[in-house]
Amino acid sequence: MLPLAHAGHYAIWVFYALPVLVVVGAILKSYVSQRRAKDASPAGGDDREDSPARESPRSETGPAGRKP
Amino acid sequence: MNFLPLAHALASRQDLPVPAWLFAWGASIVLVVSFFALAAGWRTPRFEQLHERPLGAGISRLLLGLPTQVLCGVIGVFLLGFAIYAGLEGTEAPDRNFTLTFLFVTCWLGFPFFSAIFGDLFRPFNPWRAIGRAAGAGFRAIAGQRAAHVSYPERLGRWPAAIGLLAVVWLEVVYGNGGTGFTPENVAVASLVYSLYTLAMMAAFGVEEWCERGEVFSVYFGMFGRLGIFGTRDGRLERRRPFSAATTWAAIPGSAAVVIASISTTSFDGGQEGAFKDGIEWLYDRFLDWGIAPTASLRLSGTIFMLLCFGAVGLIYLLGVRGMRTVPGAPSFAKLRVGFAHTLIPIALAYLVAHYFSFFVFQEQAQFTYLLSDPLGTGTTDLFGTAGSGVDYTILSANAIWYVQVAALIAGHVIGLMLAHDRALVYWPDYRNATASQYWMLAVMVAFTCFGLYLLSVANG
Repeated sequence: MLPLAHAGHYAIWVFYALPVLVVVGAILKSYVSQRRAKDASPAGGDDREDSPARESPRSETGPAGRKP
Repeated sequence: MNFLPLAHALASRQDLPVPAWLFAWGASIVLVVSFFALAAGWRTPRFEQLHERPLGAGISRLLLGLPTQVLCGVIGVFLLGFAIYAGLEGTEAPDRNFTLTFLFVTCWLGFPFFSAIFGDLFRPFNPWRAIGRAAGAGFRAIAGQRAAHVSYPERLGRWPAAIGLLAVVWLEVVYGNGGTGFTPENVAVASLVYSLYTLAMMAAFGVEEWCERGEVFSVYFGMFGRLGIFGTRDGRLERRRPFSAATTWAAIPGSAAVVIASISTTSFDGGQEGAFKDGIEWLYDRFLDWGIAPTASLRLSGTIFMLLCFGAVGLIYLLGVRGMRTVPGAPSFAKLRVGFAHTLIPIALAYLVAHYFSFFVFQEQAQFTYLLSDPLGTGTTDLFGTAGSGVDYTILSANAIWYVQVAALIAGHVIGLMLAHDRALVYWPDYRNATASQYWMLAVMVAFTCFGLYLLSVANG
């Protein structure tokens, strides 16, 4: 059983976690609204196939292709 | 760092203008603003090239020439040998013996701090590398050929260093916390065992190969050295753009585990007497209830929390990487995981500075006064006339320590964001997608910042 007498000690967590929750919440909200917009558009589908961005050909040695 | 009490800050914070948790909010706002500033003004990768400028041939010859290499190697071997000797022959009082402060403060903290500015400073002084190279030269002179080595398994990568890093810190903060303490003699014996292990691995796989991948201290200090402004290439000393050499560091498998181990072990050490204390004690009581001996219970509960920290830090990073996968045009998960691992290096450094810089400042006074004059702590030696000196704890105020801690955490995370943004521009040439991918890294950075400040506020408070 966790020591409940120290509940106040743990409660301070909330103040430190709040900025993280706000940022994560904003990201999720943005992600969900983007998904909805994509689903609603007639084109729909997978963005990845339309995207000009492709995996960099500079591979295992890092994006710049340099050895460490 | 539990051989001296209150390692992180030697006085409680006083007279902060606002509650400590508001600093976490302020730091988060700084990160968010930095993120949008990067998105608006940074649209092409800038760190993927080192932008090296070779220094003059004369200074390269002086600093990288054979005489200097030999001299640095001899200094490294001498200091390691002396630390082992002092540990075996000196006093058992940890704060009066040269060994613990030299190895766990001067070297363990000093090399990361200064390498992050000047480049890898450990490499020339690495005693095992010096011995290995000397042995290799001797073998060549006698046998007339290079020693044959076993091919190093590529998949093993830097995992031996990551596990070794966890083991070194475990030995110090968990084993040493097991009631009997971590005596100078323990450290000397551990150093001897590690030296034998390292030399055997160097003989098997080659000196440079093992230093690059498996030797804990070379990999760990070298990681921070990638942030620094000096490096070597083809035998020439060169000046490079700060942080740029970090971009290629994580290409070797297991590198992410090394930097995660660094952040998690610092977090654990910072939290074991603060944020995690109640949890560790609760677990300790459970082990006692199950009939496990007190020392073993203490070590077991500490080990579990340390591994939990490693898992939690790794999980936060992997969640950030997983989030990036949702952005159109994203490379594979494995590629992202490797590709962004170097962005954690400034965070590892920030955690080190935040947790240990005051400890470093205080203990270095001891190192360069009474520990140098009376290294064995016998009370009968006074080599430099400073054996009677003490540590001036008023040199840093409690508030000053707190502000440095906050500044270090913010700076480290902003640099991490910058490196992540730069790398994202390589994977997503469309800067809008690159920015979208970095929302997740922003969340990771905010999480690490708030977590770090929470640990410090509880430890200091």
